Amino acid sequence: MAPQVPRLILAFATLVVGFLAFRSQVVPDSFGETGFYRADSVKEIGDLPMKHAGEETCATCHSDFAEATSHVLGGVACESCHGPSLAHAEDGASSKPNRLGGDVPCARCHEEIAGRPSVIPQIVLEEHTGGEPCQSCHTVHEP
Amino acid sequence: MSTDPEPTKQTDERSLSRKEFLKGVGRSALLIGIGAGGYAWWARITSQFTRRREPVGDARHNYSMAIDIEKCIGCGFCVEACSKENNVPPGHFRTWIERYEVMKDGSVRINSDDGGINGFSDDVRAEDVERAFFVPKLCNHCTDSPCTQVCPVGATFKTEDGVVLVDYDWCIGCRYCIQACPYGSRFWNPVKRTADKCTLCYHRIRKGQVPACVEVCPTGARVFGDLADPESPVSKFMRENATLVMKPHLKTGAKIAYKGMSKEVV
Repeated sequence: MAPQVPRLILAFATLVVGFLAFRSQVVPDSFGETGFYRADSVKEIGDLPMKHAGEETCATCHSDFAEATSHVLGGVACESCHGPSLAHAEDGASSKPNRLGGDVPCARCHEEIAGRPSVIPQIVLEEHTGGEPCQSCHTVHEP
Repeated sequence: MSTDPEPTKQTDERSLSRKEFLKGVGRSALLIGIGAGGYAWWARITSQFTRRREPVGDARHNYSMAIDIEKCIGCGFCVEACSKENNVPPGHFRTWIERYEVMKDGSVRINSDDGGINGFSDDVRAEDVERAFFVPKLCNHCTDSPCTQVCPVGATFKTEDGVVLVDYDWCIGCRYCIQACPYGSRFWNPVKRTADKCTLCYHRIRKGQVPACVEVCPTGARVFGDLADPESPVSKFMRENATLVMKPHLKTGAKIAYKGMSKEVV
């Protein structure tokens, strides 16, 4: 064997081992275990905290609204108007849902605009309300 | 002259001194140690190529959404709920609503002020509009997604249960995926400093909840479910209605099915 051959083999072996050693340091632990991605990230994203409780959760305490008012029975979820309320569901005292007072978003759905399907009751805001708040005439849960 | 057989010398040649014995033991232990350590190190390196585990997402599911354009009223509650549920920075959207207005002169206006997060208001005379409708848009969670194919580091991928996700810890922020998406569903998140997109509320569906946008939709325009389950709402919806996906000619395998899709949208 020519003297340079073992030296070349040694040099290549060092390179390969060095590369593998470097790679083992920089590739994250769970990478490639279920595909070309970090397997742990699926769990991490799946474990992120939620903010919306869902209507079933609301109904466990507020069945008077959730099961008996026409707006909710018609498909409007509690959190459509009241916003994300999981914090309230977990601790009712320290966190309150949005829009419990006068600020009602009726116009978001019921103002007459181009493109809104006619099955939704619609009003021209200025003509209909005359500046009065909606609750002067309507109950928000039973409009 | 002594005839002693010199037994002590013979014994010395055959047996080791205590010092030499300990030296040998020490050398052997060192060699074994180096061998074992080397083997463990080698195993750790090579196991990265061979390690397999049960995926977190269950391959028996294939989550998807269907959208009934005829039911969307453009209230924007879904956009608002999505932004709050997922801490989407202002001005960026994981889901958004576009209003298409086909004018009497045949032109098409598309508007989406702030993604529709505050609802819509009229900006042209109603008598000039021939036909108008709202189209909620989001990531299509494509089966053959272009975005996951271009990621150079494997930071975006499709889970076994059919959801395209971004690994925020591993994304290097090169933004190839944002360019690759033909639906404009991805955006640069200036807070996380990574690409970002709709996860189909993966953190909710893994816990048995529906995505936030589906939860708050007041008209049921968004239908969520498991395509692998024939009795799920989305499978039922797609059986009962004529649906179409966005840009089918691109063969991305887009999953979000739209009912009432018009030529202007496709």
